[in-house]
Amino acid sequence: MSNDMNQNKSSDDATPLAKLLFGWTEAKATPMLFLVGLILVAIGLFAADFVLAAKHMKHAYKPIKFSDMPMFYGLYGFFAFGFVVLCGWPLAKLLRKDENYYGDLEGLDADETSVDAGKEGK
Amino acid sequence: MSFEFLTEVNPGFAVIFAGVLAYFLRVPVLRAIITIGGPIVGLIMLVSLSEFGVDHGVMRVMDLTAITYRVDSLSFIFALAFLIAATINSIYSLHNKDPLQDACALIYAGAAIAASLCGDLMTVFFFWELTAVSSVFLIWQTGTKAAYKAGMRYIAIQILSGVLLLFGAVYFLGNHGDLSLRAISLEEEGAWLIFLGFGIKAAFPFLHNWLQDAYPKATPTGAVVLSAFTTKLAVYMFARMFPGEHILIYIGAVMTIFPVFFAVVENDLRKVLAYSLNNQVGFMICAIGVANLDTEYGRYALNGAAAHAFAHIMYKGLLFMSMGAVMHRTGTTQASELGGLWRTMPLTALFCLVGAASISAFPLFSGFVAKSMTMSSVGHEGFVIVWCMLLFASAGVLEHSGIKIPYFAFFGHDSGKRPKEAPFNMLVAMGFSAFICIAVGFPGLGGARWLYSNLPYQTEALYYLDHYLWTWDHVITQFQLLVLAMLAFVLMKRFGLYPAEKPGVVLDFDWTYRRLGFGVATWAGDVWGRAGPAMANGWKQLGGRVHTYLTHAFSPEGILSKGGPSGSMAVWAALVLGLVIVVSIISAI
Repeated sequence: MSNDMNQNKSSDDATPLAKLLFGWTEAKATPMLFLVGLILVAIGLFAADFVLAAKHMKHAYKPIKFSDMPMFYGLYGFFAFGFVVLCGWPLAKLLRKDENYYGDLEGLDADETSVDAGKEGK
Repeated sequence: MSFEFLTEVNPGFAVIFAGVLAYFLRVPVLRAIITIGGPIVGLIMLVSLSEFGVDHGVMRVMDLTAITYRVDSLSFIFALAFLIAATINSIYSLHNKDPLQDACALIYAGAAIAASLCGDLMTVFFFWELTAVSSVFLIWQTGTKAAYKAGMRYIAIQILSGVLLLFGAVYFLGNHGDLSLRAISLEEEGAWLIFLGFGIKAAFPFLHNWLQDAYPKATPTGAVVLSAFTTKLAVYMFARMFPGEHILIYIGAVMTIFPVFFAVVENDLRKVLAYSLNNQVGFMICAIGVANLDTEYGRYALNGAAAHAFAHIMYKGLLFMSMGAVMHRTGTTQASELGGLWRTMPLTALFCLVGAASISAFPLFSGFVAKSMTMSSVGHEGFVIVWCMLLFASAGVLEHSGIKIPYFAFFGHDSGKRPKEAPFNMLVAMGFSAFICIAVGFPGLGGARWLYSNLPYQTEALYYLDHYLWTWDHVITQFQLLVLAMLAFVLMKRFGLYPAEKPGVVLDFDWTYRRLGFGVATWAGDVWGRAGPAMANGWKQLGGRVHTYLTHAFSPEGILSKGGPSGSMAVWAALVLGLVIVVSIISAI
């Protein structure tokens, strides 16, 4: 095992810089605040879209009529993302096989499970 | 002593020379100076060139004219990106104690730079093959059986790409009499072979598996180096030789879509990045397909491909660097074994987030500036379905590279791992890349104007920058796409709809040759092993019968020796001779 890495389950051992940059992610309220924040921003963006449409400031691709519909991009992003992630369930069942399916990982050659293999070559 | 002659030498040569030198230098400080100094000298040589479109280093080799150095506005931006990437990669690799890796990384980068700056197909072929041969050592140096096998598959397909290019070039030479690099049509002789050769390196669908197979098995620094050059050299060659070729639009669109589905179930984060690379190259290939240079939007599209290539080299390198740092410190990039690394690797996490925001094309980051022209061109040229596919892929990019990579490595569940922060040289290299991602993307910092003024069609690029890029409509719609996609992620995590990361191999098209093809070959071997002796026995019996028959006919005791009339012998001889003549005439026809 490399000395570079120590196994420690405690969450209080973040470096000062880490606490400064990302310590807020540990707060219990963060997930809910993040969700509410995203919803508010999304509402704001939809509202802005309607304002742009009302002021004729929306730019449409002539051959793609629906591209200037208010909320089109947001809804497209939401459903596209959801579709991709939901496809992950059947795809994982269909395509995911044992780690050594191709017989490449044998004994000490099981790279990527050894810290030493993470170094620059053996 | 004047060094002016250096401005007429391909900068790739300087990088290759530095690579060769690096192999023999065993003093770490000297090697560090050479590995960083080589690409910097190359950069100086490139920007010192005073005139575009002039042939330098022209040589006659076996009745062929080799143009070793020719720069124009298209090759300039690619070579510039390659040289910046080579410099950053050298800084990132400074902790390496392996001269072979340092040497191969520079020779590989130098070969890609040289190929992008030469003026004829035969010289391209030479450097094309040099990229293949030098880069495979970055995979093999991992030292595992898996890396060895992946390297063998990698080198086989890369060499095949070169052979196709060579055959195509020879065909082309036979029909046109010269090999100078120019736009050609697929209807020309040999063009399809060249197209396929480029397509392998660009990782076209069904030809793409070498990328996901080999890159994640390379060394941590090797994967960073590999991510910058091979596919983007292919993109450059397509932009040079096949702009406006419509089939590229559809190939590119498919390339943007299919990796998204594999990336969502893949557990190895470096492999996720390899799929993401495939997806991003798809955008560039699609743009080149739209790039009919006689139209305004066609020129936007070529600008879009070039801008995307530049930005992509920087942010994809940054993402690979952050995963390389994780690999270096923890020994793994399996999502199921990571999480919570922000606690001890905050700067690496921060740089990874910059790369993630850039590749997702968040406004204020480089991807937004680079990808915009491609989307506009595809939309304005009326490729409705393709445009919808690219938009879908944009949401997909956010899923696999924008969220999955940083979330599962640095946040998500706490793996309990507390590795040290990345080595200082890695942080410096990531800092440089992150700076470029922000400088290019943030209005007011001048990076976008600098990038656009170095694109192949500068006038159109600057017009687009001033009139379309930073419109409220454009910024708000892009934010909408990304914020709502993020909302989908948060909701799916909250309701347990996001699939868990689990270890395992995700089957892709390479199953056909690694499993099915191997199985068929093994089965054929078994069949031959069993049927062989039986068939040999059959052949032996048949041979014995023929021998008996011939002996019966021609031996001194045979039928033909039993005093038959000499006339009949003459007739037989004449018949056999006649038969031989007829066969000869038919063969000649």
